[in-house]
Amino acid sequence: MQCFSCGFNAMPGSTSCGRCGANLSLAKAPIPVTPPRAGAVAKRILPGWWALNRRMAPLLLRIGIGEAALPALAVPLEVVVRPLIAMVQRPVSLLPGVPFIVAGHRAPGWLLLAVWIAVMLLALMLHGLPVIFLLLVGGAIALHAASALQATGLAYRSVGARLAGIVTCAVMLLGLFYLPLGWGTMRIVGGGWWVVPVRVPASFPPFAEGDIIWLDRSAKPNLGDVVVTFRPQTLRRVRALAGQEVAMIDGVLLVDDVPSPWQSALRPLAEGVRFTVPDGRCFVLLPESYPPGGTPPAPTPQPTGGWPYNRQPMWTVVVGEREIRDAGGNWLPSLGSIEGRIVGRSYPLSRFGRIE
Amino acid sequence: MPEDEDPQPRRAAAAATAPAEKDAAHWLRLADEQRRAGSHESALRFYSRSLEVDRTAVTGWLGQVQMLVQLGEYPQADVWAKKALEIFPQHAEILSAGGQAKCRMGALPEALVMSDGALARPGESAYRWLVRGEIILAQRERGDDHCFDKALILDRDWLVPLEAATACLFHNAPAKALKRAQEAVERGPTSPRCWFVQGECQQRLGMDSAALKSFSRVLELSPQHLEARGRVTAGGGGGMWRRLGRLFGGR
Repeated sequence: MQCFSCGFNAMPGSTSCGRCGANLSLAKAPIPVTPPRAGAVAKRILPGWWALNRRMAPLLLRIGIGEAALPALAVPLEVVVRPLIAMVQRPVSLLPGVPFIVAGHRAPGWLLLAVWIAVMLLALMLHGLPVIFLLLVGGAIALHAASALQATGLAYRSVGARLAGIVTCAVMLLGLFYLPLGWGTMRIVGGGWWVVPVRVPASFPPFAEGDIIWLDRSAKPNLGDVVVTFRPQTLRRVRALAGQEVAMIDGVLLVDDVPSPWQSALRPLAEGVRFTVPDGRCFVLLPESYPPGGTPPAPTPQPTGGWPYNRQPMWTVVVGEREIRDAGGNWLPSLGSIEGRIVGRSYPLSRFGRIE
Repeated sequence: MPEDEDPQPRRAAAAATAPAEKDAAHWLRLADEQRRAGSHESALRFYSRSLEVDRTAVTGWLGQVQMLVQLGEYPQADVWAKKALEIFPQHAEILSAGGQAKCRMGALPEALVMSDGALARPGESAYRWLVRGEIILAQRERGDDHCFDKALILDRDWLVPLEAATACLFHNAPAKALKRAQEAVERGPTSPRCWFVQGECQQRLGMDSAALKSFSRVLELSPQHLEARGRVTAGGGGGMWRRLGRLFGGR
């Protein structure tokens, strides 16, 4: 067997040339022969960097710090600029797992992507639990960084280059992925047409403190919706809309003289109260409800009210005309002060589901 | 085709010659033609085709790396040189090509190490000295002329001084480049590319009328040369903006 590199007559069956070390098995191996190509963006941006590098190199060599400094100059080029451009050129490579898939490792790549998505979703669902949320997000970022390092750092052997690769990954992930993602989410959320998770700040039966509920900020409140109000931040159920007449007769809540489908056992209206909901407002009570003629839900542990209700549980105190007049924001909030409608609950998992 | 002529022998002859024409040497020949014409993209493609036929041909690997360098894709050339070095360890020309890519990226010490390795290998070749000269030129030190001269002595091909000229142009040394381009024109007076590079050097030096003559000569030799036509139309000086740019140190 003759070496194709140097012509040396190697022993039959040997895999490498005894003289030059060429891998003799590569001659028949299915190795790719098409070289990698630079993208259009790289062709535009990198020459400027190289020109600077070339101008700096002789200067640094002359002042005696060249030997140490030049590899340091090469590191940003190799490890920072090129992957950065590669990622800008192919934003999909920012996704975890995709560099593995592109490199031909399809199974681990898809697995990584699936696990990352699952972890991120779980973190979103449980974002009201700070420790678990941080652990999950940290895990997701670690998975993502591992994926990005596949694209940037693994090819570099020196410790400095690897460290630079890790820093680059962190900066790129933060700068190109998580910050835009967070900023975009905030913008979208700020625009008010997205469903966001909210942690329930206090107990509002049937919602307990710490529950994670999903708030649809785009929805306008309708009859029966559970809503979150801004000031004070509370959970309420809409019982009547603007222009409707509300009355409490014989313990039954009437809206336009028809029994409301959402009767209230906790903090109900006082008997005989009758009023019309002003324009631009709606009438709300605590979220708990039961159908007319049905059985009120079993009492739950209730906080004790302050003066003048300190002798009885707060939720059993009826809402009289005085409360409506003095604290209208609590019971007759303006539509502008309603943050959104609750559409579901993701935590605790035992009570996971839609909120009707 | 005349009816009395039997097509069978002709088909057989075609069948016999067809595979021979499509072997690695065929693609390498095409690649070399394209390279001499300055079509590096096509040359790269043909080098790849040659490797598809025979991946043990070092010329194909080397040509790919050189074309990537000529196309300005230095990181890719570097990667590909490393890959080629896995197959042909310590191959002098591939080491030189890798060094050239490093040099163009500004990593001069690494380029120098690779060039040292190439020159330490047994044998001589013009390309090793070309790269050495380019690295010395990039370092702004003396000795590049010696290396280029040595390369020219080792190979009488006009491509050698032409590549030396393009390297000098790349490193912003148009006077040196003009000298090499003139040598290339002497060696290959019928090559439009030599004249074009000479015209480019002259243009960079502000010798607009001489550049115009060179570009006109390119058009005589190759009337379809679009870039030369553009330069001639612009009057050899490259147009107002190019002239203005030169006032401020541009090319």
